[in-house]
Amino acid sequence: MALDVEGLYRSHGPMVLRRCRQLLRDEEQAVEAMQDTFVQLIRASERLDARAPTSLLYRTATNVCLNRLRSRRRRPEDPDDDLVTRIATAPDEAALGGARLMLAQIFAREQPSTKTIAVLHLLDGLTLEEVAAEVGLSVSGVRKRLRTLRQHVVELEGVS
Amino acid sequence: MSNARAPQALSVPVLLLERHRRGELDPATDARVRAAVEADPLLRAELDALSADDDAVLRRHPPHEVARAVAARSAQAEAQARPAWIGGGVALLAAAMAAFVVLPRVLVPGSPPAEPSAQVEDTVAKGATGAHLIVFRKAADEAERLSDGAEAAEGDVLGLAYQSAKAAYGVIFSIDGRGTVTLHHPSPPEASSALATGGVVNLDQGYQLDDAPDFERFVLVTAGHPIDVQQVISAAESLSPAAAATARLPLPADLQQASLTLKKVR
Repeated sequence: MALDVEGLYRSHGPMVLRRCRQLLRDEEQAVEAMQDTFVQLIRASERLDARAPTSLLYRTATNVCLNRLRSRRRRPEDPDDDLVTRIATAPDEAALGGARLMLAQIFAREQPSTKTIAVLHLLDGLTLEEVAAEVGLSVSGVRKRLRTLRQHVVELEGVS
Repeated sequence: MSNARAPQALSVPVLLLERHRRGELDPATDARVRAAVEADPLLRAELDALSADDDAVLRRHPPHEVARAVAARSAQAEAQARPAWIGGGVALLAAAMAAFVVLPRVLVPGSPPAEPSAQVEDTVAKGATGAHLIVFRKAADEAERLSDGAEAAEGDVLGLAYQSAKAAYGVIFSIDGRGTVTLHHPSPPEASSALATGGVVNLDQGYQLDDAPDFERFVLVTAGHPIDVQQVISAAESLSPAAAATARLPLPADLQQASLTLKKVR
């Protein structure tokens, strides 16, 4: 069944735009990221629970914005930006190179993004329990993802 | 990482407020948020501001215009994606994905019979509804189906498939020797727990084993009605590490359970 983009935007679009504004701090980019969020949703519409789309839209918007931040590698402008930018540019498994890791990343591509998990906890203030409920992992799983990401951020800072 | 909330102006995260105002929270969380809103004028002001901003955004970016722009971007993205798949730079990625998709079908050709043969009985985790959970290991150019008790090691890349049989809904997750629970279906968790019908269905994702000790257990919970995913995850997390390898989940009797446990070796 085709996704009712207009209806979904009417009910949830402003929330998506607010999220994009918060992370990107640029109105034009935020509007584009908001539209990209709905494009991503069209591709994954079979996953959408029409009764409760807020979480999926919020996470998808976060992912879209982190990818944009990583692409533009802007200078941090305030502490929140600094945190988000560090998360966005932290190396992930795929960036470590090697066909095995590339394969692993392909296989793992549908898992909740570690970076999104980090933003939900560190920037948005969700507790580990709340993050776990949002992404469908156990609390220990969320904790492990965050620990790994923090190691990557420390490594990144060590070489920069 | 601390489990305390990160410092912020609001006592309830905006995501929870957004879900609260749309009636998308579970009753317990919704009650907690409602109580916080009633006690905190800042939260009430934030909710008012969100409503006002909704109106402002819809006026500035009208729905029909956004829908048209999204359709154009979607068509553009689709057109750009096609050549990328035949580019040399992503040949490995394409080959890897093709291998992942095709190999399980080689293992289980065509439409399997409604009841598995005795030969495959020991290689599938089968629930009372006849639903099957299939775990296989991707190695070099082939996939190896794993039976209950098979050995697996850190770094092994596993794939999952299922056959729904008589079950209309299902949840698939794994739990490791540290008690870490990973949800595989539905993905994301708020998606429907409906199972696809018509033969063996590959989950469009894989799973690389980490260094968790002792075991990796894959569990299929099925029912004839939609399943509360969070209830299943909570039941899994309630098991002690010692029990997690074999024990049934503390779930209602109308939820069928089947599992397959791999033994972790170094």
